Amino acid sequence: MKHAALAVVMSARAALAAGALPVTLEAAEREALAQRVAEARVKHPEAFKRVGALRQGLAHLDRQKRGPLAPVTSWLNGVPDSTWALADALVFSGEVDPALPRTAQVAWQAGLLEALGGRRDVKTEPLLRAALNAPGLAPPVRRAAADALGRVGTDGAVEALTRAAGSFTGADRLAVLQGMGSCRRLAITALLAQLLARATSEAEQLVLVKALSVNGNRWALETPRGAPRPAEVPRLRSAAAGALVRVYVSSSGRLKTEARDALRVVEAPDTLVLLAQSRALDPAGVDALLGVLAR
Amino acid sequence: MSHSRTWCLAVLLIAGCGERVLPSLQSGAGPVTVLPGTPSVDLRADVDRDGVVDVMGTSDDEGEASWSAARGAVFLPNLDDDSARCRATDASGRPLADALLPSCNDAADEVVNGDDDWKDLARLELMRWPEAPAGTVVRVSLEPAEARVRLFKKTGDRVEVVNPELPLATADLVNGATLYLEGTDLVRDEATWDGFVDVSVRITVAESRYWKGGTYSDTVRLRCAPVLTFHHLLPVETAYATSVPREPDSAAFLRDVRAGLTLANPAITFVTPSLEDQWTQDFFETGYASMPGPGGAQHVMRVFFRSANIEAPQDGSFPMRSAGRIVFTRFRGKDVAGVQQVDLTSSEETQTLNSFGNFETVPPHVTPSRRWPLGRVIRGSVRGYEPDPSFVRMTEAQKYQEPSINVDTSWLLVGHVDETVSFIKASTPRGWIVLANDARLARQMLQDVEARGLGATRLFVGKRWLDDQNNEVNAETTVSAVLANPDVMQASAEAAVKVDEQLAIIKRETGITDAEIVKVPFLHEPVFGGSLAYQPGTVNLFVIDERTVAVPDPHGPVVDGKDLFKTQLEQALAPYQVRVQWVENWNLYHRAAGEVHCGTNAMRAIPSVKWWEVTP
Repeated sequence: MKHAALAVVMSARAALAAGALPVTLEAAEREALAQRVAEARVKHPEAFKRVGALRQGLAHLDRQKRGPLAPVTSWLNGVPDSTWALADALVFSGEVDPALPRTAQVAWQAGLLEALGGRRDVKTEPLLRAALNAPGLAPPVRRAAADALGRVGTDGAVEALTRAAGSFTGADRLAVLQGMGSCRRLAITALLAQLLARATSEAEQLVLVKALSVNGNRWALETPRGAPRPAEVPRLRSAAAGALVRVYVSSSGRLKTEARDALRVVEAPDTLVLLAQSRALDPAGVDALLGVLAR
Repeated sequence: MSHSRTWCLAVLLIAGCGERVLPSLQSGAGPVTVLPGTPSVDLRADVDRDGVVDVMGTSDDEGEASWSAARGAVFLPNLDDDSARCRATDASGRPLADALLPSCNDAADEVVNGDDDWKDLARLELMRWPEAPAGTVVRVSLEPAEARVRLFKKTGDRVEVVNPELPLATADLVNGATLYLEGTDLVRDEATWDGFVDVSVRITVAESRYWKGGTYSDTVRLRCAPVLTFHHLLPVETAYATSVPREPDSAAFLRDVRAGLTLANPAITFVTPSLEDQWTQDFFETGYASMPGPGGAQHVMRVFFRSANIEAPQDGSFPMRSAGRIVFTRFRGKDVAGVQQVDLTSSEETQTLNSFGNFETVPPHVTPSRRWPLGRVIRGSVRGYEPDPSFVRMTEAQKYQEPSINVDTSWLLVGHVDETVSFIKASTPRGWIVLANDARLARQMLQDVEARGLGATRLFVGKRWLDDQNNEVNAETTVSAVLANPDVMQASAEAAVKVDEQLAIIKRETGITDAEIVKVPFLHEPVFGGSLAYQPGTVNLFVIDERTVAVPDPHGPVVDGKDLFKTQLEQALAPYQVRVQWVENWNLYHRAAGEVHCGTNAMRAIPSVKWWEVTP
C-alpha cells in the first residue's frame, strides 16, 4: 500500500515535472521506475537533495569549467546512494533550464548518464536502453547513454547496443560506437572488431579503435567489476587485440598510432603472437611496436 | 653601400668627401681633370646591433642589405601604449567590441607618442651628401611591407611620416636626415610577410658635367622582432592569479601561491585581478619582443597574447573569452603590448586547445639539426584536433621557437599539454628535466599500500565534491576502492600509454633521456569520453624559480604519518634541490578540471640570449 501510494505521488509529480532527457518508457517500466525512485527518496533523501542542488548550480559550474564541458560526472559520482536519484533526474525531475548554455545542458544530461552507468546497476537497464534511443540527443549525450548502458553489460544492454549500432546514422552512430566500448562483453568486442574491419572512413575507424581500447582495457578488466562476465575476458582481450593488430599493420598515420596505443592499453597475452603472425604485412611497423612492448 | 666613398678614393681625395668638389683644380703639378662624380647615397641602420647607428665609421655599413645571425638591423612591432592613450571603452563608456580592442597602440597613429615611444623605434640615418645638385629626386621605399611599417622623419623638433608615394626634399639628402621605423604589427602569417623590410633610398640625378646622371640607391634590410614566449628556466618577475569574487577558496589558493612566491623571491610582484574566470593560465600568455638597445643590451617590449577562445560565437561584438580582455584593459601600457589573433570560424570542438594551458615552451636544447637557445613551443595538437589555425600560423611566423613540438592531448577531456608534462631547471648537463604524469606509478603505489594490508587507508580526507548551496558530498575514498574502480583504472591505463607516447615525442624532438624524466604519479578518470586527473594532477604545477615549485596538494593516503604522494614528489625533486610549496586547490581548481598551473601565470625574466644572434 505504501509503495502504491508513493507511486501515485510520483506519477503526479512526473506529470508536473520533466526529466533531463526525453525518455520514452513503457508504462510498466515507467511505473516500476517511479516506484523505485519513490522508495529511494524515502531511504536516501540526501542523495535527491544533492543531485537537485547540483542541477541548480549548473550555470555556475558551466561558467567555471576549464574544458569543453564542466566535469559534472565527477561530482555526481561523489553522491552516495544516488542511483535512483540520478534516474529520477533523468526521467522525472531533472529537466534542464532551456535558458542555460548548451554546454551546461549537455554536461548535465551526459553527466547524469555517466554517473548512473558508473553504478553498474542492472535494474537501470530499461531506463538506459530508453535513453540510448531517445530522440534529439546531442552526440555527447548519446555517447554517454551508450557508455552507461555498456557498463551495465546485461544481455539486454548488448542487444540494445548492437541494434543501435546498426540503426543510427551519422554523428549519432559514431557516438554509439564510441560509447559502446565500455560494454565489456565478448559479443560487443566481436561486433566492434567486425565494424572496424568494414569501416572505410577514418573518423569511424578512429572511434572504433578507441572503443576497442576501452573494451579490452587490461587494468579495468582486472578490477572486480570490470567485466560483467569474467569468463569472457580472455577471449574478449584476444579479440580486441586481433582487431587492433589488423588495423595496426594495415594503416598509417594517426590511425596506426591510435591502434598502437590501444594495443598497449589492452595488453592481451597473445599480442606478441598476433603481431608475429602479421609481420609480413608491415615488418618495420611490427618491429617498432615489439620494441615498444619490450620496454 | 656608399657610392660617395668609392668616388672619393677614385679621385685621390683631391677634396674632402664632405665638401663640394670642383671639376678641375689647379695644383702645383698643373691642372687636374676630374671626371664627373658618382652621386652619393648612403643609408645606415644599427646593422652591428650595438644600439647606435654609426655615422662616422663603417661598422653599420657593411652587409647592411642582408640579414643574418651575425649582422642585420631590427625593428619592433610597436604595439604598446607608451602614453597610456588607449581606452577600453568608446566615447559613451561602452566596452569596445573585441575586434576593436586591439586596434589602439603606438603604431596605430601617425605620431610618436612621447619619449618612451621614440625608444621603440629603429633609427636610420640618411647620410648627408652636401654636393647633391638641386633637382635631385630622393625617394624612399619600404619593400615588401609598406603597409606593415611606418617611417618617420625627424628634422629638429619636427616629426613627419614619410610617404613613399612622395619624394623627400633634396635638402634631406644635402643635410642628411634621421629616420625612424616602427612595425605596425607583428608577423602574423609568413605566407603574407616574412618580417623583413628593405628600406631603400633612391636618388635620381640629372646628367651634368659634375655628376654622372642616373638613379642610385642604397638599401638596408631590417627584421621585425619576433614575439617570443618564456620557458621555465627563467625566473618569475611578475606572477598572476585570478582573485575570484565571493569565492573563499580563491583566497586560500592565493595565500598558498603567495607563500611560494615569497619563499622563492619576496620581490616578485603578485597581480591578482578580480575576475570570474579562474583559469589565469588559459586566457593570456606572456612574451616579449626585443631589439638592440644602448650598449648592445636588449630593448624590450613585453607582450601579452589574448587567447583565441571563442566563448559566444553568435555575439557580434563580444564573441571571445571575456577574461582575455584584460590583455588590453589592464596590461597594455608603457612598453607592454597586447596581441589578439583569432579565427572566429574556428571549430567549436577544439576551442579548449586555444587556451594557453595548451601552449608551453620547452627550455633551451640542442638537436643534431638545430639549436633551440630560446626554447621551443609545445602544444597539444594532432591532425583533426588542432588549435585555431590562424593563431598557430602567427606563432609559427615568429620562427625562433617553432615549429612546435606537437603531442596528442585529444584523449584528455580538457586537452591541455600542461595536464601531463612540465619542465624545471636542473643542475644537469642539459640544464633541465621533464616532469611527467605516471599513472602506472600511482597505481603501483596504491597497490603497495594494499599489499601491506592498508587498503582501507583513505584518500581525499576532508575533501568535498560539491560546493553549491552548502550541499557538499564527502570525496573520501579508500585505496582499495580506487584500485577496484574499473572506470578509474580504465582511464589510468590509457593515460599511462598516452603519456608514454607524449614523452617519446619529447625525447625524439629534444634528445632528453629517461634519466632526465621525473615521474609524477596520479590516476585519471573518464569523463565524457575524455580523461581527467582523478587525484589532484601534481604535474600541473607553477615553476617559480629553479628552486621553488608550487604544487597542488594531492591529498593522498597517509601511511606512517606521511602523505605518500607528497613524500614521493618531494623525494623525487630533492636531488635537483627543488622545494615544494603545497597549494590547496581542491575546491576551486581540481573539482573543476584544473590545478595550480591552470590557475596561475607569469611574466618571466628576459633571457640573456639575444634572438637576433640565433639562426632559426
